Amino acid sequence: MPDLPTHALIADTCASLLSVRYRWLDPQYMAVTMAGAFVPDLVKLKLLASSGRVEAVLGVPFDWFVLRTAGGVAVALLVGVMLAVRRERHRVAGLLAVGTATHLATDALLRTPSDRSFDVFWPVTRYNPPTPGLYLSTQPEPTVVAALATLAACALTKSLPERNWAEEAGAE
Amino acid sequence: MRGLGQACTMMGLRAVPVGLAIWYGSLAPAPAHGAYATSDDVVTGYERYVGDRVEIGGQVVSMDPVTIAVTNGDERRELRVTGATGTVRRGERIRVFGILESDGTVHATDAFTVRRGGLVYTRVVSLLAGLWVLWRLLAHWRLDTDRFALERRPMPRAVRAAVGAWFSRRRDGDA
Repeated sequence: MPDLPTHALIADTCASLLSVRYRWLDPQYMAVTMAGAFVPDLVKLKLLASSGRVEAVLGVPFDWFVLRTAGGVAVALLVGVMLAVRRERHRVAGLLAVGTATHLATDALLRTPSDRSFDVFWPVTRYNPPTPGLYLSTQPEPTVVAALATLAACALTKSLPERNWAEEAGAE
Repeated sequence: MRGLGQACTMMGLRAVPVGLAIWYGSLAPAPAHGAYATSDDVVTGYERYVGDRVEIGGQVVSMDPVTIAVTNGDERRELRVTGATGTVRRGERIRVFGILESDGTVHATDAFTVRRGGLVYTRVVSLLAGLWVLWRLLAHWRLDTDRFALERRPMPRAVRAAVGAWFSRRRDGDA
């Protein structure tokens, strides 16, 4: 949705809730989910080198916004997964995907003047789904809501029986 | 063989994202699917989109008629906006959906203003959050330089520090 802190908080909330079901999901893995939520925001690289400038260098069309499409993030995730050591790749892939999916899903609800979102499903289809236009990326309100959700999820996981991360990691 | 496979993988990891960005960049707007021409398209190829519905945004540079500066990051173009209801002030950013006319006008069917300072707010907090995510990742994961792969740190740095502090306090107490 709006800004990166909100995306990071939503990813953290999801990771906290998933950790109730998946006992191996400790704070180390939660950091991966947050990194996944960061991926579509790499679009901001356009501030350093606009798509037009990259086009001029490459001599072919180029668009950073590919990072806000299903295909673009899938490839970016693949790069992330390949960077992890072999035995962690399955979990890293799943967690990065959770973080990125929450980012794209909440971005698809952003207000636009055309009431249509963006190429979220590309390259499967160019269909831009309609958006309910719940918020703008420049509003601080969603951040507050996301922060409250994170606190609630945190309280929930803390209220569960005490966990011994080190022992659980060793038991695997 | 292993070196060759690794080199191919690394090359693929770079070539595929770039290839995808090039493919995506070569796509024309698809209004039938809701993918309308954007500010980038209008700035670089105005004539191509005359008569089409466009979705653009920019800062209001003058009033009566309302004129906005549309940019793709490098070039800019000033467009008049007609048909928009609501109040707008000079210096505000607005986003517009409407029909592009041949005389440098967009006839708006919908438009709204973006809160003043909103963009700066978003960029600043996003930068801070980016650093936070990076810090968390580096605190929990480390780069194995031999294999050039990321792996979990044996114990999170913060936990290790807390445990270390606890033990040293106990030792001091014993002494």
